[in-house]
Amino acid sequence: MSALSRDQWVAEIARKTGKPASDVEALLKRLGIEPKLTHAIPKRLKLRSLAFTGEKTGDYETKIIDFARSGLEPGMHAFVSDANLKGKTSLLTMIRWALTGTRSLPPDMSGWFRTLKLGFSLDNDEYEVRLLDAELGSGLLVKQMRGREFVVAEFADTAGFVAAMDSFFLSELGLEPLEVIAERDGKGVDQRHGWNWLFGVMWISPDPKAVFGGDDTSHGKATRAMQMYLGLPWITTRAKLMEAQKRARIDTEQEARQAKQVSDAARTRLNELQKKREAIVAEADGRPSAGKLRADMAVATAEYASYADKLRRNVSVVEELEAEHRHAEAAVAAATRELNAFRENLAAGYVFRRLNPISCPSCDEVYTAEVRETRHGNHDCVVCGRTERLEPDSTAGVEERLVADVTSAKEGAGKLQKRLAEARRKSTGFEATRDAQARVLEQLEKQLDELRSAPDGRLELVKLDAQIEELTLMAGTERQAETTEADLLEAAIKATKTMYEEEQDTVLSKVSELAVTYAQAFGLTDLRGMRLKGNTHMELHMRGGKKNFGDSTPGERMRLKLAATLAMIQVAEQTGIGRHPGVLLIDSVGNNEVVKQDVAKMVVGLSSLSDSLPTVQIFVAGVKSDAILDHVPCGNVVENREDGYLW
Amino acid sequence: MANTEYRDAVRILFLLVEGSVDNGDLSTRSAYPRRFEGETRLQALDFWIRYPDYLADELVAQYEETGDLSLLDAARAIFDDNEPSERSIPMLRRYFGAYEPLDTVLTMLGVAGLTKAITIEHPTASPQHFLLSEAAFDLRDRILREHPVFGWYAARAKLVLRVSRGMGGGPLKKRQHERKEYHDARVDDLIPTIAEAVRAKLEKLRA
Repeated sequence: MSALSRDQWVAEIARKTGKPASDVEALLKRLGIEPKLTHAIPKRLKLRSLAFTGEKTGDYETKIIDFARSGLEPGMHAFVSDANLKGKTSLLTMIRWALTGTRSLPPDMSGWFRTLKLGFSLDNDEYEVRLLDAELGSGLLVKQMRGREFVVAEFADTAGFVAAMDSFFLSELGLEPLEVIAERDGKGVDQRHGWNWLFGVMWISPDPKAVFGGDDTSHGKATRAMQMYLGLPWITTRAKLMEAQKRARIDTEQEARQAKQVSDAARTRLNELQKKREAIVAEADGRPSAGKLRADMAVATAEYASYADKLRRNVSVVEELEAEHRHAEAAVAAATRELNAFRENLAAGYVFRRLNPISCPSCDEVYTAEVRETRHGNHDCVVCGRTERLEPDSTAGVEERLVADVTSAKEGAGKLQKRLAEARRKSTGFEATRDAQARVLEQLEKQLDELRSAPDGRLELVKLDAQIEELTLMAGTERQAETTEADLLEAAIKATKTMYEEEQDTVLSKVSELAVTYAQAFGLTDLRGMRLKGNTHMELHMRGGKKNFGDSTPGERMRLKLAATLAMIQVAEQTGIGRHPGVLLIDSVGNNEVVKQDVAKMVVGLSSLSDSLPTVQIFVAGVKSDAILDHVPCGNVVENREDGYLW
Repeated sequence: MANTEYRDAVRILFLLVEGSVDNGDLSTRSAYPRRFEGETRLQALDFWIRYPDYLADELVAQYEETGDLSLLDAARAIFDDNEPSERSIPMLRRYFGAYEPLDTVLTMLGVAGLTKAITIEHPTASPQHFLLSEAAFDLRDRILREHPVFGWYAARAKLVLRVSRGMGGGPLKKRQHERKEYHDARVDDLIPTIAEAVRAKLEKLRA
């Protein structure tokens, strides 16, 4: 037994962590953990009677169910039949149903049962659990004392039944439920395993997976079951601390994941804001200042005005030249017309002068040949009679002059055309330059407008910097796990273990030694030694070598489990420390490879326990055999009826 | 400008010859087998020879009416050859439109036995026609042979007669009056040129 008190335990935790004792106390209070400092003193459960009624459905010779056994005493009891599936296991299941409220009968028995009663005692207290409506699960748990019955619990349905039996037995036997934290989707889910789970230590099945408890070994159930029934102090305290530690780890990891998600989101947003900031700075660097823009605009305006002025003056020149050119062209046309008219008239005159007049244009009198001849002879005009004077050819030189005029006019027009073309070319150039400057001005004005209307880069930067600072904090600091509480819990777990470790090792050593004896008595003659550890791992030293519990055959495992359980019960009885109630329900002991001799030895071994364990009650269900009938008191044997069924 | 009566005589001769029809009058047909009808018609046709820009305008108008591309091509050729500047012979605006006294020219043609002017008596109008002798046709051909310079006038006479589409003097004058510049010209002023407007129209059609 640990000599340390609670205060000393707290002080030890504080010392290991360097934290004040007040922190330790605060943690324990917050977690609701209070150490169990005392040893558990075993109570003895004894089944007194079993009765149930109902009616079978289906093709049965005897349908009415009316089973009753009373006066059950400590020792070995057997439910046997000639064949299987005759109700042997069901009787064990009925007992479990009555004690835990959990019904696990085959589905074909649904609706069969009307009532179920189980009388039992816990040490000197007598109780009876009565299922008045077996199908509904309603009934009573009564305590019988001083000639009266006192209702301990009343339940209206199966859930109420389970809760009532759970509360009763955990309290009476000093047991505690197993509160574990299951991790699902990154979150911690509370799970409670109560009396129905702890009852598994009392049930020995043909093919057990664990040394203690049922086949569900998750969350260290086998170890916790063993620790519970060993009854050593501090063990459950340590178990609670470990669960608290697990919960803290899950919560911390969940918080860390959430914090990381926030951190990641913050980091992403931070990158976006930093890029935005860089863009603003780059744009500000690349953007010309308002002063520069205005200076450029002044230059462009001056250029524009200069070329606009040149264009305007040149337009006047062009207009003048165009007018002169038009005149020149008109002069060319006039000279050409003059020349054409001269030439045509000259040619036409030549034609018409050669024509002989036919008649007088006034009176139409035809000119006779005589008239014609006379006037020609006198060089007179045939028409008017006037003398034709031979005048010098007035056309001499005219054509040359007119040709020269045309040439001269064309030359003048040509020169003007060139000057005009040059002036127009200049106009085009001045106009292009002026328009280019106009576009430059327009662009500069647009830039200036954009500069004026753009958000103040400095203000934007200040805002961004503030956001970046905040997000940097969020992104950079991934939440650190709460170390203080973890350290305290770790220290508490270690400190608590030291409280019971030595004692536990001593107890387990005794249990191992005794379990070997029992296992050998059950037919495992090659077993030389066993080491049952605190985590329920069982090392076996066989004649041929070492192996573990899990390496054994189903039959071996059943006998090893039975041996270990009985050893634990006996060591508890010897030391006065333990919580096993002392009832074992063993199912189908003869249904595996165990040979008849081994069955006999196991039953002999079991029956011999009545000497050393006078208060232990063992119920065995199996096929009828000489081994069972020879070693179980006949008053404790329930055999099948003629129809083959036990009930 | 120098005296151009001889040239005018050639131009008028070509118009009379080109625009003549058979002389249906038995009494004069032997001496004058062909006949040109209407002095108004003669004046209107002569206007189009003397004003190439107005002729081009009429060509464009008829192209727009009929879609005949040859009319548009003829109008373009007028401006390509700079005829509105070099071939125009201004005419005065008289009371009824462009008018040039043709007495001297017709006398010249008549004295040579080429044409004979006759007046048709009519209750409401007294149109003047021009009879044409064989000598007029012979002289036309000889002029063209010996003086190719007059080839333009011969071709132009053909063109204006095509453009006239057989209209008489009255309808032709009416058609010419539809042009605002022609109609609005003051009496005794020269008919103004419309070369720029027609050139612009041709440019637009070219586009």
